Amino acid sequence: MMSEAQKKETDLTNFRTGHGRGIKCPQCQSLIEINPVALAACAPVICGSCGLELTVDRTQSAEALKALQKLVTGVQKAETLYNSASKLGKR
Amino acid sequence: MTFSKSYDFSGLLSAQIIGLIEAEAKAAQTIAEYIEQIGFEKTTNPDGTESDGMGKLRNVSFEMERQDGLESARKHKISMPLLSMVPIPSLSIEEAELDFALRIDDVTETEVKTENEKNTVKPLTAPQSSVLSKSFISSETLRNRTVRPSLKAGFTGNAPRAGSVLHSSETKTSADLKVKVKVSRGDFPAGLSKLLEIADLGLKDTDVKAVEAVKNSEQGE
Repeated sequence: MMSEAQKKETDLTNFRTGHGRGIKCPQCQSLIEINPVALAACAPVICGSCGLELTVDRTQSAEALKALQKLVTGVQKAETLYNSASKLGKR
Repeated sequence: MTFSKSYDFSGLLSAQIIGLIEAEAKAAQTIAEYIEQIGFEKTTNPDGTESDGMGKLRNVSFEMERQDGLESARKHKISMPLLSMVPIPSLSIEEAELDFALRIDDVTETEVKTENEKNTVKPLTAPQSSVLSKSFISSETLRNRTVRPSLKAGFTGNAPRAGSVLHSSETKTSADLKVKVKVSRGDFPAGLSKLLEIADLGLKDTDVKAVEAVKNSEQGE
């Protein structure tokens, strides 16, 4: 049975790795899990099944990348707060 | 012992439950705002004002080299909704435990006649209260009857009759409330799921070379 702290950690890891959220590969239709942090940094997305590489079109995705960056920054801030609160709780 | 006040227990308990319902409603509202801010971009009307509604889906465009059939790899462009790539924190209250304790200490002291001092105690006025306290403390009769000289309530209003102690009442109330809430990630909203399905169906996969060829031919004409 997973503890609350473990669940929270899993949620944060899932956000970092993009586990469970993603897009269908245009070539083989399998799910490509997207890592929001990597996507915000415009890192290429690679399908684990067929190896298709997708490159972010920065110009056309400018608005989406701006919103994603805002989200990533917010999550990182929340993560920092959570970690400091956990440390205080352990004292 | 009698209770001098009545307590609205149902009100006290329902307030906690209403609080939980309101918390869940606020959480749902926050998720809706999150979806709107991340997933949609506001569109503007021709007159420059912001249009009503959620706006249009915010998309991420990707470029890729893909082989179509026997042909060599060609450059394609594909656009996908950002909402399908980010986690949606649909949290809801799974369990709530309310622990509520109320302690009431109600002490009532009724009128006590002091026969021996019937003629010695005079009618009181407010400033005399301290004098009276002292005189009661020194009175053996009152000590024997174990009446405490805490007469704060009696001296603020009408003066007592000679030879008697006014009714005094003291109520102490202390409440202890513990609320334990277990929050869990709820199911993905069905409506949003449907929306993303529709967005998937409308997915645009554009052959860049073909589009450029069409453009060039249009310019040539």
